[in-house]
Amino acid sequence: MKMIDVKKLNFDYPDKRVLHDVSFSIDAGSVTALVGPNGAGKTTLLRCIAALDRPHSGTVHIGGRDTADDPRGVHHITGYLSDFFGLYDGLSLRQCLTYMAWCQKVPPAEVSKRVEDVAALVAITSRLEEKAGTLSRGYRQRLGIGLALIHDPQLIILDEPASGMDPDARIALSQLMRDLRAQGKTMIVSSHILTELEDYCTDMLVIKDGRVAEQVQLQEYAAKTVRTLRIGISNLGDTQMDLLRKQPNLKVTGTENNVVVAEFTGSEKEQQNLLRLLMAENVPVFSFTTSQHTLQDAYMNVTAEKK
Amino acid sequence: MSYIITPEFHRNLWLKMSPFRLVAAPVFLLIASMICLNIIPENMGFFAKGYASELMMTGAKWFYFLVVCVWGTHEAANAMNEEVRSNTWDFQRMSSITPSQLVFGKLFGVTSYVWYVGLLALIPFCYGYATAEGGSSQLLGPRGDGMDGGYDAFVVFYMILAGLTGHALAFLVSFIDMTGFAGKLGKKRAPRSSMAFLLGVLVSWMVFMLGQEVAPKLASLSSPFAATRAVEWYDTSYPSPVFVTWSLLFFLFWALMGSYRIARTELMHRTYPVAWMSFVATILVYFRGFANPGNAYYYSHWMGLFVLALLLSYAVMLFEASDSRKYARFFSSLREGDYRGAFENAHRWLVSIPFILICYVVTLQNVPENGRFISFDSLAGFMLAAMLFALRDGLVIHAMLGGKGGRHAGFKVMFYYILAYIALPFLHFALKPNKFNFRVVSWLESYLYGRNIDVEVPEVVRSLAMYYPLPLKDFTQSLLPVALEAGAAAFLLYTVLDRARHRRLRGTA
Repeated sequence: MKMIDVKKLNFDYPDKRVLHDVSFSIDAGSVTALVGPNGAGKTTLLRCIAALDRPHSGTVHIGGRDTADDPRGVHHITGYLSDFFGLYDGLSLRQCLTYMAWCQKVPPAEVSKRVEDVAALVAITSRLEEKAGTLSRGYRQRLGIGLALIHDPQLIILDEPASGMDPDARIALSQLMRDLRAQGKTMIVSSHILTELEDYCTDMLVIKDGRVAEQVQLQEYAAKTVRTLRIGISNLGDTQMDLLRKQPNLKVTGTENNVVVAEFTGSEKEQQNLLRLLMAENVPVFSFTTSQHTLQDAYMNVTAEKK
Repeated sequence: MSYIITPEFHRNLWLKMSPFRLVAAPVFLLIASMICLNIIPENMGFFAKGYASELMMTGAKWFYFLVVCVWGTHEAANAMNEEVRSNTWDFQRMSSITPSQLVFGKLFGVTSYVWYVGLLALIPFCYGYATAEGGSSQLLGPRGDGMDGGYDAFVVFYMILAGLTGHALAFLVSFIDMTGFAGKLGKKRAPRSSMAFLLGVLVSWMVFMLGQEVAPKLASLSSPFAATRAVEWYDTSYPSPVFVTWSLLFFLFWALMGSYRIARTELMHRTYPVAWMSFVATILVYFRGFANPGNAYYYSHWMGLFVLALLLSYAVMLFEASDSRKYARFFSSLREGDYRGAFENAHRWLVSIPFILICYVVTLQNVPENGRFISFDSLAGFMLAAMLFALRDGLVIHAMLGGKGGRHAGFKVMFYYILAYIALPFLHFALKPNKFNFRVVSWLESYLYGRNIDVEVPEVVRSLAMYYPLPLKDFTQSLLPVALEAGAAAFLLYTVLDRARHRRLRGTA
């Protein structure tokens, strides 16, 4: 089922068209990384999807609702966190969440429970009575995400959620994203930090110069692309090297201190068989690792191709 | 857990009503009242006890004015400012809050503490009023003969009305400012609240002072000795204080309705310019009520309505000048046969045109034959010229601001007005001096005294028609120059919009 369906979307600022005939669709339950260079139109696209800005032409459907005809309906099923969001600094975190629950028409009897649940989800329970103005950047970001989630939206849109966060906060954010993904939420996340997006994203949408440069399903992409295998072998010699060179799907590209570096194009099953073979041949393997930056590689490939 | 009235109102209560503030206001007022009633009279013997009550009443009244009408208006003018500046506006726009909840919550929420203090101040005011010696008040005026009881309830009503009107106007102006510049810059910017604040305080003060005049008259209406002037409106007499009060409530309604409609647009509801059209229509209907169709100068009243409709259209045209995209959406909807979309994206100045034309036609229909001051042709030419000048200004200003985002909009508009209405006429007459001669005086006389209506129009007056609307009989003299100017302005706007469209399609700034 499609959660987001965008067709021939054009968006103008008074002096510039920033989105040109943008068309794509996103399945329900997927987590899409929206990536692209600065000024590519990512934020504008997210605002159009969130029914906050009205496009010049084209259509955007969210969960079957047209953002032009039913923007309020779209708001009701969408949680959006903008890149430069603010908080009511004079309110406590509990008050902020309660206020947003009221605004989002959470039934009064469920407001308190919903506030507690969301606070637990974004790990701010211990700080609920503190004023929002006293929070660090990481906690502000968590509260912002909590505000976007308070009405349990079907679609979550996050624009640069990790910007300005310290490493601990980023790890916590990644964990939160994985939790939300496990709950079956559809998410679209814009970020420049590709390695983090890789942790939880299932799809990637590349925007360049206001146009869709590529839409990639990461699992499919990973299956089709080359992984780098690093096989550590004690007393590495010609015999072992010859054995490796004879293997299908494996292309040795070099060695580094008893570690063979090779490109592997086989499936997961074939990777298992390779390891089993090395064991059977009594090859003294002390490490066997795969390195694959699917999203980053895909992005680099896409942008390299477009250049 | 539920909220009080609206979520936005409740949020503001959290922010504004701290326990300290709740306690501080009554304590301060109590101390101030004690000083007025006891300490000053006891220590300064020349104060009579009755005068102490008067002092408390007056002090409380002006304290109320400062708190509600000045501070409250400041709060109302900054309500949207705060939201935009702190980047919380998108959260509200994405929420399920309704436009009426938003407007009510903001307007009465940000001013909640102000009203709390202000209403508390009315207690010493009413106490002072009740205990002051009868007839001694200089601020409220002498009480009318035969009155039983005072008129402080009416004064209080007007004091509250003064606060409401100032707040509603300040909130509306700051909201208009925010949305007016939004399209220009492609994103919301914090409205400048100073203009909204000053306007709000001015109107609030006027209503406050009007209350001092109207309240005693309202109170005396039930008295058989009441001698109140009547207002003739649609051939019916209404006591003037009642009419003034209902008129104020009418304008207050439109100030609130204006904010509500902007909130609707901001919350992404489909909003058609129906409310604007209703506003123009009801304003015209309201002022039409003062005209007497039997009067020989009935047409001049309609001409006043024509000017009012033109001014409203002109004002809204300036406000809408910032966004060329609205024209693009309007024409695009028309091309696609989406008339609902076209109506939604129609500029308000466009939908005001029917009202201007109605006033134009009715005015001319009522021009008496052999009119003393002005002939049919002169008036028709003058009104058409006024429309064309307004159109010319609108097209030029939209061309200046609509194409490339409209930076320094205020400066550009001011520059245009100085150039069009001061610099160019001055330059024209500086290059061709000595034209204000006897013939000009005799021509003016022909209008002022209704004599010699066919006197030849002097050249200098004909030249003036290039710069200002003039009542000339010959249409080629009054209309041709400005028609050419408006045509040139239309071409300019078309060129600018077309270039903007091409720039957009190329994707370059």
